[in-house]
Amino acid sequence: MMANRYVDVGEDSQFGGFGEVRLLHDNFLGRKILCKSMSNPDNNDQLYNEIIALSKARSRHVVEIYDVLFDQNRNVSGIIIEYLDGRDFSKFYLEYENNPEEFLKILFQIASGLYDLHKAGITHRDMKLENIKASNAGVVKIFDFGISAITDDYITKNNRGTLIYAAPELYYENARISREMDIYAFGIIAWNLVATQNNFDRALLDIPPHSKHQYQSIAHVCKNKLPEEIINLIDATLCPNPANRPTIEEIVPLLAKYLVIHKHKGIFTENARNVYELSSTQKGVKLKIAPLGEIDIYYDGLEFKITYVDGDVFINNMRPKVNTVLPNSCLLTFGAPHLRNRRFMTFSSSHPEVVL
Amino acid sequence: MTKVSFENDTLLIGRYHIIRYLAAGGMQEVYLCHDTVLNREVVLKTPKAGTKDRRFKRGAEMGARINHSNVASTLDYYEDENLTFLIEEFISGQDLSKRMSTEFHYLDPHTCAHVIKNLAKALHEAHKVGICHRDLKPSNIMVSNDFNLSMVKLTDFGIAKLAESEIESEIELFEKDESTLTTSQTLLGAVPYMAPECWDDWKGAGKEMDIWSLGCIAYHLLSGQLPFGSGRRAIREVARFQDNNTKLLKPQNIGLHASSAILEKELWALITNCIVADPQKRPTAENILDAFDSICYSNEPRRFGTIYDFGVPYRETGHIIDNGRQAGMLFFHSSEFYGNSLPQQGKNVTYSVYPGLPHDRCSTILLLK
Repeated sequence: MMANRYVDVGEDSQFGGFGEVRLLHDNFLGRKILCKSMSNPDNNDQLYNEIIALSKARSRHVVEIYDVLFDQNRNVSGIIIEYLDGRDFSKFYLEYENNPEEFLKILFQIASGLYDLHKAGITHRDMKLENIKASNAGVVKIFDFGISAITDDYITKNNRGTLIYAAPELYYENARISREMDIYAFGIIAWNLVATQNNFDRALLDIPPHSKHQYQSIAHVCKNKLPEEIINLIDATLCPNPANRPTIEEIVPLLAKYLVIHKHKGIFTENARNVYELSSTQKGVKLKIAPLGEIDIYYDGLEFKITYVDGDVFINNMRPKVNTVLPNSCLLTFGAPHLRNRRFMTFSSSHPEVVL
Repeated sequence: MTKVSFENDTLLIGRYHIIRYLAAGGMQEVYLCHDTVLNREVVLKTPKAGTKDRRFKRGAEMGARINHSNVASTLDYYEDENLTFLIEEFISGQDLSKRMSTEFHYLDPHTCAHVIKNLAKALHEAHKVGICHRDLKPSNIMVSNDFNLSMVKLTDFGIAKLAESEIESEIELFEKDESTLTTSQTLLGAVPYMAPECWDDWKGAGKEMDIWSLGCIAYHLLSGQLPFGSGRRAIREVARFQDNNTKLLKPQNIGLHASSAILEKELWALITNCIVADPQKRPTAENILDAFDSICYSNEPRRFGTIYDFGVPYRETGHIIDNGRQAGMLFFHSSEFYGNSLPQQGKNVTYSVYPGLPHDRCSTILLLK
């Protein structure tokens, strides 16, 4: 590191009491960065390896690592990381009711960050809402990592603040660090985005969790603003048995799906002309070509479903089944294969791209 | 071969190990490097020998202020008496100019919309913190190597800062002697995307010039044509356009496909809103993003294959052999074919695939070079 490169910009209230994190100004690039002191000479190699693994994960939803600082003995003494100057989410529960869509967007971004970490073989170990912030561009990022060498005693460390993020299995002897504990903490983050201490689920506040009370669904506090599938997903992340929690690979696509709910367009064309357009304002269509056949399609906000079929109708040359989903792009044929007067329609569905 | 600043295997400031020289723009050399501290690949950019310039640092600082995943991240910067470089994230992909010249005749409207929306987002984030790109063109846009260009990143805010003084002095030279255009690579690359106000007052031109460029890029991607041509012709045509003596020609390949007719109409409206002579009448990047909130398109993964036959079994249908899968024959209909000719046997294409009988069915089939 070069002399005079980083200068203190004085006390930042946010990090005031923290001690191990300093807000600095990078004179070379004219921007603020954070310097996080960390050291564990006993386990230096492991600490360094984990920093490198993190820097390689390079997720858009995890803060960027710029540099590693070493002491005279070549032991890691700290890291220089991206400074997030956007909002935090400690008070988001006040906004939730008016903006449940934003809740899904935040959750999706946290899940995406965790997905990239798990994919890179990293267990976060210290997932909590206080470790989530937005950049000035509004991109939600995970900004603190529980690196094993410094957070081996997860429960004791968390004792200083709040215990609730620790999964039940961590209270038993020989508890092992696992991805499932990140998933559990992710579920608690979801709760913390919509609830306060007053209406928090009591089973989740038990020590250890689920030991005295019966868990009630997040449905009790989300005020009917969340789709059932999302409620079930969040509930499942908090299962006492880690094996019953969904993986992050299951969580991300489900959240992504709901980011574009009610925003699809389904277009039917025949002979190079638009015939029908389905969307959240026009949800159903009865396509009947007598006497060849009929198929009814209904848009449920996520998918275009076949609700009724009669006669000879084919989708990409296959006989459709009721309650299955139309492919995003397909050819509908009316009439048996031997007929000369068969009619053809194409269908294509699309939706606005979510660019966060 | 011009002399490069760093040999392979050089270790800079004890941290950055030069792996190889990648390319040179008008103003800088670009190297692939290994960051030995964080053990990862990064890109090193250094001003071309001789262009020692404070503006390089200013450019690096500007790039570092935009923190968004549609803009290449600035990771580090170093300078002393002998050495100046900036470190940027390594992006696995190629620049859009190269992809357009080697692979695509033009993009289908879905992929075009995807690229433009991501660029609008990048511009919005830059403009929000008071930074203009000022040299927006396909060679400053990095895209991933897949066929739906899933990742789009704007680069070279830094070099744009350096290039702008170069462009400014080249514009001055050009005013005195028109033959200088062909010798000035920086200006020549920028001209097809350059807003008319740049010629009147380069320094005064601002965010609106990025919007004009975005419109020109959309036109280029959608049609394979530059809206005003290139070189001296482009300068003349833009001036005529500014004087209201010519109109923007609607590309001939727009409006041929029923399934994307709405999308093409929306894109054409966007292009004609951006390419407007009066800078004040152009939309902001934020306006464009708002418009995109209701623009539907598909950015599904694409595969690569070769047309096996056409006119079989029906007049307007044919088959594609999926790359590398001899058994994998796919069915397609010409109404979903995007290309500047009818589908021809042996031509390479990219497309999405959906289940069907007896063959799976392709959609949005885009002809490749």
